[in-house]
Amino acid sequence: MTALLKINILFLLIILFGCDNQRHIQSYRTPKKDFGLALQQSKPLIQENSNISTKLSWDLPKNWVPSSGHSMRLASFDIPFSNGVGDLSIVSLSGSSGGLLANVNRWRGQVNLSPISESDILKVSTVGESKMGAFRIFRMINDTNTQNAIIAAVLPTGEKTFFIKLTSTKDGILELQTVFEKFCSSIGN
Amino acid sequence: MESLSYRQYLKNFALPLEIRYMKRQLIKLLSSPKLFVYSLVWLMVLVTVGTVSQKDIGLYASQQKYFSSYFFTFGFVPFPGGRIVLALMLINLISMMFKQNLWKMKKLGVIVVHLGGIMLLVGAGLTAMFSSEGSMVIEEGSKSNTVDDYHITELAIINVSNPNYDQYTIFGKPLFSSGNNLMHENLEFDITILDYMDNATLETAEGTSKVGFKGMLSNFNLVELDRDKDDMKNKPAIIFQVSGTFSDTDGIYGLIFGQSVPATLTTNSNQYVMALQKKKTYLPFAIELEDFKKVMHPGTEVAKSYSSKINLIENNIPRPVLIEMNKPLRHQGYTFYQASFIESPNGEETTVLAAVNNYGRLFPYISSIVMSIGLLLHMLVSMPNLFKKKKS
Repeated sequence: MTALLKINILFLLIILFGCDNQRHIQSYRTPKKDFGLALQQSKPLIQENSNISTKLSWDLPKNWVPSSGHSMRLASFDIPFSNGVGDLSIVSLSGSSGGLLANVNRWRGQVNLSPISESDILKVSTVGESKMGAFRIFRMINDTNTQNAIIAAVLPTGEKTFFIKLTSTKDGILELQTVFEKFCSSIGN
Repeated sequence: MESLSYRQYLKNFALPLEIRYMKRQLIKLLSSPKLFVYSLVWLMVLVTVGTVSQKDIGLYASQQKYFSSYFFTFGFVPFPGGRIVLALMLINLISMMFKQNLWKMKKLGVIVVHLGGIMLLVGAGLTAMFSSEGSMVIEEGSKSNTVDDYHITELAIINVSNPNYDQYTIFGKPLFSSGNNLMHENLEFDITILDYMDNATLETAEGTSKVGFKGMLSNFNLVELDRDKDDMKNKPAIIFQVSGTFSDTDGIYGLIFGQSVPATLTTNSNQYVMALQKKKTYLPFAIELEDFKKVMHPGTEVAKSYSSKINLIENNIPRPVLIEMNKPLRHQGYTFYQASFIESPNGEETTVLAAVNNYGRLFPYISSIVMSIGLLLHMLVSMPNLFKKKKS
């Protein structure tokens, strides 16, 4: 009888406090993965010409939060969407700032897309109208790397070019595209 | 003869007798058929309450509250949950097996039925404790060896400083109670959990003092939401304090499931990425998606069937396998079902496989057969008595 009691208690203890499928602390190594850190740290190709006035105005959506971006940026915003936060930067560069093709291909490289030729550049972009003139929007989404995606607007004004760039996931870009275009349209002096 | 003191009398005679009596009573209670019947009735109550409550709290939460718990409360009153009831039933059945009057030839069928019941409950225990289910998302042309759990969340602190590998330190959800300190030899800092939310959203932190807050929390607040009935729609979030670096890195950090901008933390010698993610299980083999095919019902956008042509890669040797809607792949204890797919605007396809690992999978089948044999034996053994009674 005592043996039976011991067996029962042992069973009860095993069931109540024994193995659990949730091992609480684990440690392991995996091959290197791209967490998009390089993308966060990317810098503009050309330095800002501080002699040129860079006063801009825009209609800021209510839930966009100014953030402490890179010193090269005119402004930075954290933009929430349903699945996270996107990073928007506004940079102004002198002249044509290295050319449209070079900049677009640089962004494409950041999301592991192959470069495109000059003849294709107009095919992959759409045009919008701001208070400072027309701008061109480029959407760079790589379906094999959905964690990193970019939508960028290039707004040339003659003596300088404004680059408005939103970095997020593929889902983030798809969700924020409309509000991004609206924001770009609101930019003025 | 020396007379015994009252204390000695208690120690030598009364207490052992009392303990023996209590043991006997306990065994009697544990092996009582009444316990089994009451447990069965309580299980029926649980099934009813659990089914009704699904409407309000959802399937997963109801399952966790009533069936996967040891105890649950209604107001302040605690009630036994599914696990404790099933454990009592198992103990009860095992205890019955030790009854001497059971081990007779004419009760052979009853013994076999009891064994079948024990097997069924042991299988249920194995499933409850060791089984897991999650999804494996693979794009065409790429491969994966990880399964993301559907429900269980974990905090991953990833040291990305080494150029050859990423070092993961994982803390499971049971450790996320407020005030809990998390430490590990891989980390140069301590983590104190401040808050964990099953479902949360981000709100801008305009007008709020954010001194001491780092990363995302310097601009946003994490606001708790009511838990969604569909657990897949819940976005868990965590707020924790990092200390021990004695630098500007120390502060309060927040993470929300699925955030796109990775949260980072830099110490003097290492850089870390932090994420709140679904529990990842790394498999000893990989699956490569060669081709995904879907067939639509004519004239509709409703899928008729989908299939994934995959390569099962083990020890660097690929083996082609076709997974279809009712033809899963079973390998190394895992079953991979064709669950869903994702199609990108440019036509590229991604397969979603449901991966289930259930160690108790065969127990219900085997125990049902055993119990059927037991009932048959019992009928055969009892038959002569039945005829005798009829004749008389």
